[in-house]
Amino acid sequence: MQQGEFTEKIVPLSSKLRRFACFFLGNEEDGRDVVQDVLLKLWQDRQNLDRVANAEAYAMQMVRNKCLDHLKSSRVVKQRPLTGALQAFSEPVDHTEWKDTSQMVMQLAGRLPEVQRSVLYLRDMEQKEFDEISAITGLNVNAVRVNLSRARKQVREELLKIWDHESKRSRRITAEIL
Amino acid sequence: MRAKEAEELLQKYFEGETSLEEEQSLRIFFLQEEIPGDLLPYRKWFVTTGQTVEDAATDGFTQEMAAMIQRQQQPVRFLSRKMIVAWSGIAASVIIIAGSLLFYLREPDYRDTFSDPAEAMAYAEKTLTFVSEKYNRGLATLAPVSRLKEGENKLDKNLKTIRKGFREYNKIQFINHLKTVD
Repeated sequence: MQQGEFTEKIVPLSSKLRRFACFFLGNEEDGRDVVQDVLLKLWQDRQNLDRVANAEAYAMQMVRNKCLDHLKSSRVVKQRPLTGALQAFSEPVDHTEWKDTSQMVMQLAGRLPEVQRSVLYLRDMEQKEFDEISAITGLNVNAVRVNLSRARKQVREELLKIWDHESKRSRRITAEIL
Repeated sequence: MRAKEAEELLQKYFEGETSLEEEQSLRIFFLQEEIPGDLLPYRKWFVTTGQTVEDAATDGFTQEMAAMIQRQQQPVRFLSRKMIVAWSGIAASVIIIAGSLLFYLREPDYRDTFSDPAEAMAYAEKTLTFVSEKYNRGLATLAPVSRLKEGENKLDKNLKTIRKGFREYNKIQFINHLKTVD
């Protein structure tokens, strides 16, 4: 891959990769570092990029592996709350209600096991096809589907719990007012 | 999309069996104002995941990365100001050494003017004779100088006699002096 092609195809992926890394690590700064490392590695290895069928999936995969290494080396608890990442996602949204929900969603996903979290993110946040997710995570398509289903059901449970809690609270408030 | 349809899709969604298009239509459904009460808990999820966030921060990051790659493209600059000074010193001394070597070791570019050595010898003799003739003629004009030398020699001889006379006179004076002291 030539310089121009690299700048056109790979560099624009940075923000997507950054979001993924930040989501994965739950930390804005670490996410940036990971993506920077990955981009440099890709650049140094650009001669071999032509042989890669899907450069984006390849880059995502590298980011994911790097994140896993990072989590291992720093012994960060995998399911720690994603406070840092929330900022990255919620910043541009004007709607205050959305901003809160965005944070809530990240918190829901952040509690999931790593594989489920990746799959859920790639499908629901990045809208990736199953074969792409499969390429990134190294799972087969069926396993992707299973993990996705589990993750979504977990999220559903949490959503229902929150909804229940909120409606009880609002009922109580209504009762108090009346 | 009707609520009934949405509910069915939602079931498929939680089984991980919806296509991307179906998921997108679910998101659109949840953007509506009126949603049946039992679907309300999922609304937040679908509204949030539908947003693709491209803000200034991500743009800034892309630019940052582009700049980083740009820097990688440039050859590494090893010529700092210090290095330029050092290298120019080295270059100057190399030029001086090489220049002087070239100057001193240069092959003198003689060109043979005669092909026959005998002819060259004859010509050289002729030239030398010419030079010596001129030299001798120059010396001949200097002949009067030798007469000056003769005159000087005579003068010197007479001066010696006078000096001898003075010495004798001094001795006599000294003796006279001793006599008067006695």
